[in-house]
Amino acid sequence: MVFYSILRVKFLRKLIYNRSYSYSSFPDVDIDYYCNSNNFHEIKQNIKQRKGIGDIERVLNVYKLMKSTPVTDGSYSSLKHNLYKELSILPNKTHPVVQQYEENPSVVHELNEKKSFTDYEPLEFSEITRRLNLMRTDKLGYTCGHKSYYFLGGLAELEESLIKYTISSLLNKKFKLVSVPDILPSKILESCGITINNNRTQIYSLDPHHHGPDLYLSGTAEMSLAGLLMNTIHKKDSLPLKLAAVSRCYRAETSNVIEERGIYRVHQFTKVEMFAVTTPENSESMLEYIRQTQEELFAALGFHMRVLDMPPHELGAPAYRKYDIEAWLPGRNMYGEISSCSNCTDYQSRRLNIKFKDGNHHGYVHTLNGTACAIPRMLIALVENNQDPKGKISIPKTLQSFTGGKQYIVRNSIPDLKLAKIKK
Amino acid sequence: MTYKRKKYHHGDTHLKKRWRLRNRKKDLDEIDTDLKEDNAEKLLNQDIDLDLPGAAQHYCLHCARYFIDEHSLNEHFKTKVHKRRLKALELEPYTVEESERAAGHGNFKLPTKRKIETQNINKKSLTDADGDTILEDDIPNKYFNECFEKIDLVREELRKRKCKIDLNKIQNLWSIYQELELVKSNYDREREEISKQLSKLIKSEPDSETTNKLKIQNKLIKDNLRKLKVPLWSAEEAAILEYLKLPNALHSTTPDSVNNVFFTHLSPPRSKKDHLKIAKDLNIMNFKKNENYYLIGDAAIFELGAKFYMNSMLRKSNFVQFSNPDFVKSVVVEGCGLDHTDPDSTFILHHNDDTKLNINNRLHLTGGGSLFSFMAYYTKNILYPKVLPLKVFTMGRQYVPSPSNEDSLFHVSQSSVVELFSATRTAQEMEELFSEMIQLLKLSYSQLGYHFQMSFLSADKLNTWESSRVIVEMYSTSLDSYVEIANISLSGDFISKRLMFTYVDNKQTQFPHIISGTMLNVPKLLACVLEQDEEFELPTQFQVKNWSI
Repeated sequence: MVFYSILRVKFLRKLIYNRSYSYSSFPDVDIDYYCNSNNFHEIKQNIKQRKGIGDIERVLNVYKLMKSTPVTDGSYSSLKHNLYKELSILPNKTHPVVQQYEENPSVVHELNEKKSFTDYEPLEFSEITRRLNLMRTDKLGYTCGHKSYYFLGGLAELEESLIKYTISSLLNKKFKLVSVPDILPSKILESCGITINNNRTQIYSLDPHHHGPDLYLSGTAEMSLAGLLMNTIHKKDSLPLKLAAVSRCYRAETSNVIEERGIYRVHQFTKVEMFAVTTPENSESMLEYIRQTQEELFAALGFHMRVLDMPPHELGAPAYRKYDIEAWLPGRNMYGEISSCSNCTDYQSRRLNIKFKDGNHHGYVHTLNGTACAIPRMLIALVENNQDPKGKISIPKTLQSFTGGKQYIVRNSIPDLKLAKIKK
Repeated sequence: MTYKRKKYHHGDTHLKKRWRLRNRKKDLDEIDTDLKEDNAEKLLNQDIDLDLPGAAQHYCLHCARYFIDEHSLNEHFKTKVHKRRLKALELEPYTVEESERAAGHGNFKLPTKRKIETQNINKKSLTDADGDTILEDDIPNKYFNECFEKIDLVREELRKRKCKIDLNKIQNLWSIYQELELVKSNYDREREEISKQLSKLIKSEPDSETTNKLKIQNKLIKDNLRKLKVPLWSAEEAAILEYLKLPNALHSTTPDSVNNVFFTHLSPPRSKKDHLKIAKDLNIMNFKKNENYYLIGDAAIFELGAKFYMNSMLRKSNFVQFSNPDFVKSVVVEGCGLDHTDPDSTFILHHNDDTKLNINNRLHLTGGGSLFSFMAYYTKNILYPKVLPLKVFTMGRQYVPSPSNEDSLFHVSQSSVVELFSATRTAQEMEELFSEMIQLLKLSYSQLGYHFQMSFLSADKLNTWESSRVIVEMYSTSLDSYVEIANISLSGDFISKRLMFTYVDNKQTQFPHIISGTMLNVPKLLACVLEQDEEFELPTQFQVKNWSI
């Protein structure tokens, strides 16, 4: 405690240049829908199906209570505050088709043939990279923290070429490239449907005593892009707006599940993200377009994958419908999620106040997002599917023009390390 | 099985396990052979074996036990088990010869007793506040003496750096430590003499006056020694902590007070432009504040293109690519010569674990494109000498708390960068590589066709860990001054000593010399390019069509 009291002086100074954003104090949640008792059963069923949080009964109780208190009453504002708190944790509606699914996702279709490894047992990513010395994950806890990793030589080059390939394809499709900040205020995160301020948070934050109270590390570029569009009004004919961004993603959670060992689930990684803003009528076709874009991007890389339409309980709170693409990972002998795209309808736009204008009519836009390339998982899929029994990794034709014509990744020239023998 | 019967076998497995062959420890006579000098040396310097406790690095010779770390080994030396073992080893082991003598061959000989002492405990090493060793050597004396031998030079360099460290204070602290050390060794000598006399007297006249007097004296000295321990330790720590704050030695290329410009390309732009306004007009940037800005469209392509261009230049000169994590622990920040508790030098992450907060072991957000991230890779590692010189680079983010209130791309806290890192065997090799890198920078920036100049930074602007820095500057018309957009720093073995980054040459541990630098800082370059006389357009090298071949 002594320590913090010394720093309080610094903290105060920092506050001066943490100029705050101007927000409307309450998100414009669709009260007419949620607080209409006719919709009670529909909403309750939806929450149950999605195994989501939120309590519609409490919302209605608070709403009734608020209606019966006069606006001038002292308790009115605290009631209103309560109501919006309860409202904002309710999940989005669910697509009618998705509601029919039970527990399991439905396979939309499969792409590419499964590569057969008849004459030898395919190895796992960590084993291949260990043999070729392409990655280091061991003994880093002391210097970089839990589950850190370094890509070396060929693998780092493959990462760069994946970014080049993805971005140049997206630019051809008239996506607008944006470079985003990775440190964000809490308001933006909450509007994207992330719960913060609880103990088991998924989000890293900067030390509130040192750097001001409200700075978090972005978990995906979707959050930063939503922050860019916050409080904007778009002309109807300027929509749809298609954005793409390369960013670092920071996630505090990891897992100890054996299927997710190695770099399958990590604290920090590079990702290319797509983000689209459309009018309400066009959001469903835009979701199909994003899915198609993803399929085109991944299919050219040659590995087998399947496209899934996810069931209600797999959807995050903001999503209305979500497609996942899972790649076949021969080393692990399982499918692994390499990307997802979801339609958030007006869930985010209402919280972030993003509107469109059609003559005199104002309405909330629909937002969609999708992964274009999540580096670690993409590398796992590429390396495991393109391994060679002799110990090299072939680079897919599509990527070769971005790797300077290199066709194979071979053993890395960076030397192996030896743990220091600490003689004292 | 009835409950009662179960009770009869309590403790059986526990005993059985103890008696298993695999749990059998060495016998006393085996240990006796281990105590021979050759064997002892081998056992105390074993190779790393990851199957044994502590990778076989902490071995107690007398108890034939492995310990997980130095601390537990030292703790073990204080235990009864260990002392009993020393006692047990005093008696010479029973031999065939002795048995023969007992049976009547030869004459009876009293078994000899020997004095057994705990193996040579650690040589001293420098530790810092959080207890991790940072300078490893036989004696800290060497460093201090080296420092005080050329004290005038050090004082002169401190003056040039405008550094406010008080050398006299360090000298004082060190002399206090040495005085205490002297007192201690005097006591030690006295005590030894007394115990010698005592051991002689105690048999002949166990209750005489002199014996009792000596006993009391011995006790007194023991007490004094115990009392001395704490002040001695704190004196040592204080001296070492101050010493560690001393900056790196200056390199001969570092000018005294004015930057030494040694290369200029083209001439500076003349029109007065402000990059924030231009970017806004072109609609390629949304600048909210220094911590939060967006590059849009061409500016974002500029960011990626610039990085890819520099990467290809580096790959051509045989640099190897890395992809680094963004977090490092406090140890690394401190080892690189920065104050890890200072929120103005690095971003400190919020500690929301259940574990207790330790200010010396926190996570810092520095970005993969930083010296810290490379050092985190090499900390506490040994290289084979044949792999040096090492030439690696990475592209990534660099996060630095914004140094100023003023909104501009020059003060942003998040930058995309290309960072390079190099380790060499000798200072000579380092110089050669240094000039090679300067040529590379010159070539890379001349090809872009903008005005820039290169210079050696003056001593007062260097960081404590740097001994020399070459910077590439472009002219900002909004600031009306030159802005550093790239740099390469020499740091010698300053950091490698602190973070135990070593290589072995002729069986000797050596510290590699380090060169590091930010070859490209995208926001600063972008700001300067926006302020050029011509309209902003993407340089050809950065365009998407040139990303592939």
